[in-house]
Amino acid sequence: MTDVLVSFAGRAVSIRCGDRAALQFINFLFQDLSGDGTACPETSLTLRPSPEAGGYLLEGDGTVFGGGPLGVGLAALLFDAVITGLIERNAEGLALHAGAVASYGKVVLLPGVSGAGKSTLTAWLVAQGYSYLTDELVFFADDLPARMLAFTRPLCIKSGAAPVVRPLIRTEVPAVLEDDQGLIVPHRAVNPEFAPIASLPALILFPAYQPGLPITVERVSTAKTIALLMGCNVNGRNLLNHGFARVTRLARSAPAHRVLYSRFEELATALPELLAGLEVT
Amino acid sequence: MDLNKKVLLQPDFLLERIDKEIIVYHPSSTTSIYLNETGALVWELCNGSATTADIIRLLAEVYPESRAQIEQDVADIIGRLVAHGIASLQ
Repeated sequence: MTDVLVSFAGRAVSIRCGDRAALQFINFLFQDLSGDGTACPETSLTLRPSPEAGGYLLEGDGTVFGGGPLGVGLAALLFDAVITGLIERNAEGLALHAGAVASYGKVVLLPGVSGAGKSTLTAWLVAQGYSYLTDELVFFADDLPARMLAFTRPLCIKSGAAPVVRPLIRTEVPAVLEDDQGLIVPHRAVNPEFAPIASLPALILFPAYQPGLPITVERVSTAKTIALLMGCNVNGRNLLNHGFARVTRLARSAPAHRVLYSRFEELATALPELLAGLEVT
Repeated sequence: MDLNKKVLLQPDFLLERIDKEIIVYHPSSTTSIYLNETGALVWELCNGSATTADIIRLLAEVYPESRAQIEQDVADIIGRLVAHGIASLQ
């Protein structure tokens, strides 16, 4: 048994690996998370071989999260359990469901609930040369008011979007994990050099994947941005007034747009003008 | 909805006015309500003594050509506020 410590935003989760394959799997998924290593784990998970579960079983603190082969489906369970362990009691800042990429130090934030299309739009931006930060979670720490912390997990693409994202990713197995559940692309496969602590967003894009509809990019007012960001708030219950003041400051700090899209080809025509404002002049 | 009841706003909300729009956060129900320009106008008219019918009449005096739309919009907005516990009808 080997324990792996995953830390983020001052909190930690311990993952006990039942065999060498489980350890390799955990290292593959969490290698790019660069916590400070000093946090004491509040949550303990175990990933152990289990033929009855179809390969491996993930459990911890009296809860069985699920099981299966060491693939994309089990990785999704792991990320959910780890993020819950890292965030559910965290009151030292604001956590948002959001993707994030950077270009020349300027950050594009892509907030959205699960299924909104933030991973897919993040992947497209990475393919355009943006530096990948996260496709799931960002944290605005109270003691780092001018910075943003990205949960630097691999890019996780569900099976429905994998066929269109896969051609954008120029690396092959074993650098990526790919099966019928989707595609997982670690940081080191797309941009080995990245900083988990980034500047505050310069642009906010709310992705909305809408199959069959033409692309629409519309400006979102600051008031509407606050409402949308509050819907992406992960740890609001721990914060004064659910983090409303912090969300308001964030919404006031950057312009926001909603991007309704269905095909990458349309993104290529609609987004460059919007993103041009981020380039260094 | 009874249009002749007074619209009373609950006291424990947080509010941000930005440009001509409003975002209201209600801590008890942990709900955020976005009000566009029309919604913000309705909000400002919820002074504790006005009924829904009063608000419709006041707005219709300013925009007489849009009376039918105003009736629908005001009812929708106040209905949302009531549904989220930010306002009550008395």
